[in-house]
Amino acid sequence: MKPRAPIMAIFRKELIEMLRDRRTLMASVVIPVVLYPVLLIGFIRAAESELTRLKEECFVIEVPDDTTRERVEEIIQQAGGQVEEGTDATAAFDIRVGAILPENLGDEVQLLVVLDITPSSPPMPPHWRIVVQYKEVNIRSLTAMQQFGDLLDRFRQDLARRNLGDILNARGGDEWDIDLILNPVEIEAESSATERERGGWALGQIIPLVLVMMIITGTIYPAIDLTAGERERGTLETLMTAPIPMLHLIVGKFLVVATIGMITAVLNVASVGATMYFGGITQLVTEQMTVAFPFSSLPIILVCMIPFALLFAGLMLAVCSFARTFKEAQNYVMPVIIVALIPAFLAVLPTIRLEGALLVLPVGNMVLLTRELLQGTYTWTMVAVVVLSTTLYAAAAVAAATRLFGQEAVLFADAASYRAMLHRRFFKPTPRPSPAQALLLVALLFPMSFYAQSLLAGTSTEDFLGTLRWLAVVQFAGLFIALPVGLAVYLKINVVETFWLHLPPVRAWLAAMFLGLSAWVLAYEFLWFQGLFLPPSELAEQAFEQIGEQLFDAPLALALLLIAVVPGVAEEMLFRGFVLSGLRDGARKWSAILAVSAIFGVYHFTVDKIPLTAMLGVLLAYVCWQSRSIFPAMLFHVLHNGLAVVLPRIESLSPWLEPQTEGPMRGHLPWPVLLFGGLALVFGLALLASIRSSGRPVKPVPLYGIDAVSDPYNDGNKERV
Amino acid sequence: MPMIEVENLVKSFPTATGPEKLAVAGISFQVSAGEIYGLLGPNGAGKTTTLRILSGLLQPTDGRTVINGIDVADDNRRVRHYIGFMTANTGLYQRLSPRELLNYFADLNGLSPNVTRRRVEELIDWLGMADFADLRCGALSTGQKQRTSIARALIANPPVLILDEPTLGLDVLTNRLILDFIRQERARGKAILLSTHYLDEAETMCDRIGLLHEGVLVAEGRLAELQRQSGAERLTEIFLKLVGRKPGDALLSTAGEAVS
Repeated sequence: MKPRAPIMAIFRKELIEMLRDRRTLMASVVIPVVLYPVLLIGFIRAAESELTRLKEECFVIEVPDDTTRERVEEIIQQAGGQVEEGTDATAAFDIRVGAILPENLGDEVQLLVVLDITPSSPPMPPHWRIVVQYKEVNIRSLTAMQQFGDLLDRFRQDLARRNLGDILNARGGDEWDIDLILNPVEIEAESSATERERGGWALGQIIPLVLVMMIITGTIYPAIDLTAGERERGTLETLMTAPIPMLHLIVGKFLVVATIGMITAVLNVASVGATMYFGGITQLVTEQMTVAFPFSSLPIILVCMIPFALLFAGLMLAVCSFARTFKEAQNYVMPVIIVALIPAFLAVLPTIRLEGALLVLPVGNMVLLTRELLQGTYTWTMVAVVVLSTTLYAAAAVAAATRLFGQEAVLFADAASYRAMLHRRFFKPTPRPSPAQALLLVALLFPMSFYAQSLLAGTSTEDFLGTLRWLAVVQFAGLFIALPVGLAVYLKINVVETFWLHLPPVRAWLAAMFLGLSAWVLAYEFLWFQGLFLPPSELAEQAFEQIGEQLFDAPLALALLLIAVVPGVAEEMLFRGFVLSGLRDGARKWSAILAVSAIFGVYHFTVDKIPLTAMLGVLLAYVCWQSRSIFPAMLFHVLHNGLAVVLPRIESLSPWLEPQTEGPMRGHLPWPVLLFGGLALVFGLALLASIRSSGRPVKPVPLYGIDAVSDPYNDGNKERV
Repeated sequence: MPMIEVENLVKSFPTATGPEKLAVAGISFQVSAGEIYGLLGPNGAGKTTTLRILSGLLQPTDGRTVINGIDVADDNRRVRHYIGFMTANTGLYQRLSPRELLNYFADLNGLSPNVTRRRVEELIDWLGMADFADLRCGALSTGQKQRTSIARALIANPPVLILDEPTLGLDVLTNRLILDFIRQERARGKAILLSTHYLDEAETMCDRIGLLHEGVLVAEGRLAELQRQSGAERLTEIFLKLVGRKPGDALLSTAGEAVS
């Protein structure tokens, strides 16, 4: 038999230990399953009965004199109300003469009524002015007002009907239908919502927030217990001497925290959902209409919740990794939760929809997505962007947790102040960023870059070039170049090594040129293939055409600068520079290349663009890795983007590039293009593969604090040396 | 062949305000297979820091540590396979039983289920743990916890044992049981490095002794050598005498010669 994998061993042991803890069971199982229904239903019943009681009460009305008292009594009786003795269903009024001040209204005397009846010349009836004073901050006074107001309304309608009848009768003539005159317009509003939609809407008001809050709550206790708790009990020191990588340790713990968060959330949602459904609260929310439970959305919601649970497991672990004691951890967790709940509560506002920048707003996007899923108004783009962005944030959180968890200053109380960790003079110079730093940067840049791109998509396609100029400065120069370079300098990371600023071998330049000139053929065929599964949206195609026309009209140099040079250089600096270098120490060659390409793809936001950019990302990362230099990848990128600008402008070329219109290869590029493109591609890749052995030696870099130097994930190093 | 080699080990901790704090100021010693080496010193002398560096929990600021011929700086993880480390605070998982705990650490050490089963039974037998092997650790007495802790350190049968205060706060019976067990492990050819406060215990247990004071190894050698060097009989006196003569450097150089 084989030994158990360390991550599984850790996962299994931590889960057993957590489940044996009564506090976990209490927080994750007993409270949701027992307490919520009792609390929720109990509260609603209590509120209902209290309101009913108030409605049956005898309210005191104060009037200035006896005449008014008689009139008010008459009004009440005419409108069907009770004076003095109340019956079961209606309120009664005790009318007293006196002169109290309005500010003294309250429990003793609830209303103050003054009447003023002004005579008018016949046939007009006298004009009634009834002044009622009440205090809306006093629930008894307010209820009295509501009850009395109902009676007054009825009285007014009766009086109007009577007066109109008198006037019409005096005129004589035909029989008048007074009701018809008083109600000339009849309005019937019918709801077109289906039962399922109503159910989804009602649940959508409450469930998303409960779900998100419960995942957060569910992760707190295990996260504290498995990090700061373990450190406080002294078991961590022993655990850390076991011959397993820090990453396995954290991932094992992290999976337990996420699992318990999910269990808590699922139980809570089931409990709240059942309470709402069976306790009649959905009917309350939808005003007594019949509802159906949107069962079909449940599986998608649960799947979407997984990355969210991972995110909070990672976040809580990162925060708690910083703490040495249980108490300290609790202090750190509170502000994080409050900050996390702000977007969640914002997203609860009923008018807010999941669009634009909110798609990548951490926490808020998940609340909104759950609501859209419950209400059946989601799109798959929404699901993809929310899930992918949350996954990215989760990865960054775990990376940060791994980094913090291993800090010796945090590990041992006597290992000096951990605040010293944050002082720049204690930063050790490193040749490359750590995986944690790379992932954190990517997670931070993701929403920023999304806002920038949303602005681009938001402006009309008319001034596309103007927006591009702005984007070149802010997104590309600022976020993609200045920020990573600045960060590297601040963290004492070697800039030359990180951004691969070495001169590459000649073969790499050649390979990049071949790939840069031919990759568009691959891209075209890739899109054709993708179209089989994922037809491009018409809207996107229209926008693309418009943009193409504008580019065509723009000066060539400007178009090349904004489309090819700036993005080519900037995206290489960020993705193949900072990020790939960071992942280099955390993963093997191909894992690193695939990971950075997936991130590169996700950064292009729209679902139909992600696969293609990710695929091109793999080529670019391979170029960079093989040549140990960023420059060939830049050349490749600039050439590839540049061709998109240049090719449409060369009219003599167009007959050669038109897709085939007939034959088995209809829709594909013409044969010569396919042939030469394919050959160039293969030749380029072959050239790259041939420089495998000539890489410059790479010094191993400390990985996670103490668990440095050698790591199975570092095997990439051996290959390179 | 020495199983543990320490050369000019230095560890300093950064502080937020002042200069770095020097916890270990360049110490060197060796421990061979079949030998018990006692690291003695008052609180704050740097014993625990030294042991933590050896077991890979802390990174040294300077100097080399080699375990079983492998430099800790080269292959930290592989080195950990060779070391059984027992911390001073006997941190055990309260909600696991000793048996579960041993199984867990066997998994972490990559032992196969068959080996694990045999080894766990063996240790439970040797350390007399059968009575409480299936109770939760939270319910155990100090002595039972200490036995569990030793068993845990030995689960993978490592050639090097690093024990931080193994008899701290134990009753006479458990104390005897543990010390006998450590001697047995020596007889099995283990290289054992232990730290202790109890000087008389060190006298009877250790083959060689290193006296640590303020991060410096003030003297090192067999008990007889230390007696000869200092002219004192009991280890307590030796220690006080040696430490008292600091910072008169004559002694330090003697100690330095003894090491080299």
